[in-house]
Amino acid sequence: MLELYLPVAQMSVNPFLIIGFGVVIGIMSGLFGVGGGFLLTPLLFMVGIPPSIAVGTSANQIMAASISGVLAHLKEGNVDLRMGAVLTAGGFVGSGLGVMLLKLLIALGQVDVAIKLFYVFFLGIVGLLMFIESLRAYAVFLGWVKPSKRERKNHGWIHGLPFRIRFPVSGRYISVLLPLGLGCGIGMLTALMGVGGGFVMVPAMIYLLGMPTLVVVGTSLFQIIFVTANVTFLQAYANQAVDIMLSVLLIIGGVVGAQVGARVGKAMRGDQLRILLALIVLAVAIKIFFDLVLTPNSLYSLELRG
Amino acid sequence: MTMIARLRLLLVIVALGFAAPAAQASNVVVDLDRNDVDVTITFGGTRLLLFGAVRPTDETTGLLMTIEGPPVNAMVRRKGRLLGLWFNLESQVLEDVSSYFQVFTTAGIDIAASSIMFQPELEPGVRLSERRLKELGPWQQAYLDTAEAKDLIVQDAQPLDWKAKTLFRAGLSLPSNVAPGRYRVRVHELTSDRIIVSSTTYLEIRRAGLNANLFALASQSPAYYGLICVLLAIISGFAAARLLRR
Repeated sequence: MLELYLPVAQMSVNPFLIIGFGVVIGIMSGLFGVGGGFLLTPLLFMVGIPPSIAVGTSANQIMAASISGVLAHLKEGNVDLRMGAVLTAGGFVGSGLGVMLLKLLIALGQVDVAIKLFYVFFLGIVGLLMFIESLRAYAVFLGWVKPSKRERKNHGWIHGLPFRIRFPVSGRYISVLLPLGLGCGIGMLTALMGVGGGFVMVPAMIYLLGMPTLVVVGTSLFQIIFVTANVTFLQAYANQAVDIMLSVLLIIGGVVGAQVGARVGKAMRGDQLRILLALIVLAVAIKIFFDLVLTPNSLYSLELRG
Repeated sequence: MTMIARLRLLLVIVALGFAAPAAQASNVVVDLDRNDVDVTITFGGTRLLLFGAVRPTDETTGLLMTIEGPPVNAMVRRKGRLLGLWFNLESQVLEDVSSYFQVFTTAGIDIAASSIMFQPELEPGVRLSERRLKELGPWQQAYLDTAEAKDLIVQDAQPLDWKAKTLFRAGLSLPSNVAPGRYRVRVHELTSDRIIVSSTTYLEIRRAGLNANLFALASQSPAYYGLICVLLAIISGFAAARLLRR
């Protein structure tokens, strides 16, 4: 059987399996418009890739996928560049902090548990919210409930924040601290979980920043590129946690998968797709939760140092 | 057996014949079908043939062969429950332990890895009955178990094929995660209680080709390596966008 040796992870993998992971992630991004990093990192755990390398390499793959994704949005003018730049600035700070925190966790020997806790927490909440929201949308479609008119929530404290600036493309006049803070938080997730963070960023842009839906995905992808670039560099530099061979395999698979996903996605309804996505997110959260809670097969683990 | 291995075995036997004119002198010699293993980008573990010959004495009862990987520091961690979750609560660093260990014995010799590793050295002249075996501590035992789970240690002795009490051979399977470095292969000729004579040879495992270059870049010039990874994503992102548009 053909094996490919990963120079940084220092182990061999079946390249077709890893390309297959890339295909799955690519299908998800073509289908749902999310990067799929939240599924990629746990899949890499399962084949024995060390957690820090799984997280670091994921960021590299997401960067490539986001570049190919953002170009179409840029052409259509669906990117709020000013908002993207502010989010990116916040993202640089957050991802820098995240990489440092990861380094600390590696030194403490708690990196696996910490990454898994983040996964359970964020995927659990996001999956649940997404599931409820998409069920409601589907129920509306079936005529079971009346559509509720969503009002833009008036978060009092948010409008009290200083340093308001105008974002003409999004048609918003809000405090710059808001997207800065949001970018910072999601940058941390990118560093710690190996995700682009679109699954948190997109709803936050709609409900928190009040951005129009049209520019949300493009702007999210735009900032993901720069934040994942920063994370890729820092993870490689500070944690030796990016395996370039692994990246190549994942990117190849991702390109193939995105083609498939885009075609399948056209044949399905949006709310059905969202229910499906919510179920996948919840399934991943539950699986990782059991990893943390059930008695492990072996209490001992080993790390060899040259 | 490959052609080269056969030829080398022949040389071993001839050398043994010339080296021992006296009837009683005992000697043993061991060799491998290759002394170098290159860990390239397509490396997925490898199989080696270990072979040799012995001139047994009347007392000779069997052979013991060990394969030891280069020493490493092993960080062993123990999970414990805290607030219902399993955290790594305790850890211990074992210094200079063999990164790889396997034992082969001929029929009737029962010596496991745990009675060689962390124990007094096996040398010619050592009386097996006088070896005071230390009981392994929990961390040492945990190292053996966790390394065995990674295929880096085989705790039970594996059979060593011994023909006419002269020629011996065994197949060694190295997994893909073996540490690069110098591996020591030793064969001991045993009487019922004593090591008469030992022979040692070495196996060199080293990174090669693209794998060696990438490893060196990632570990010695991480900034350049990081930039290359970023560049890779940029180029493949644009290439993918072109492909997808078609």
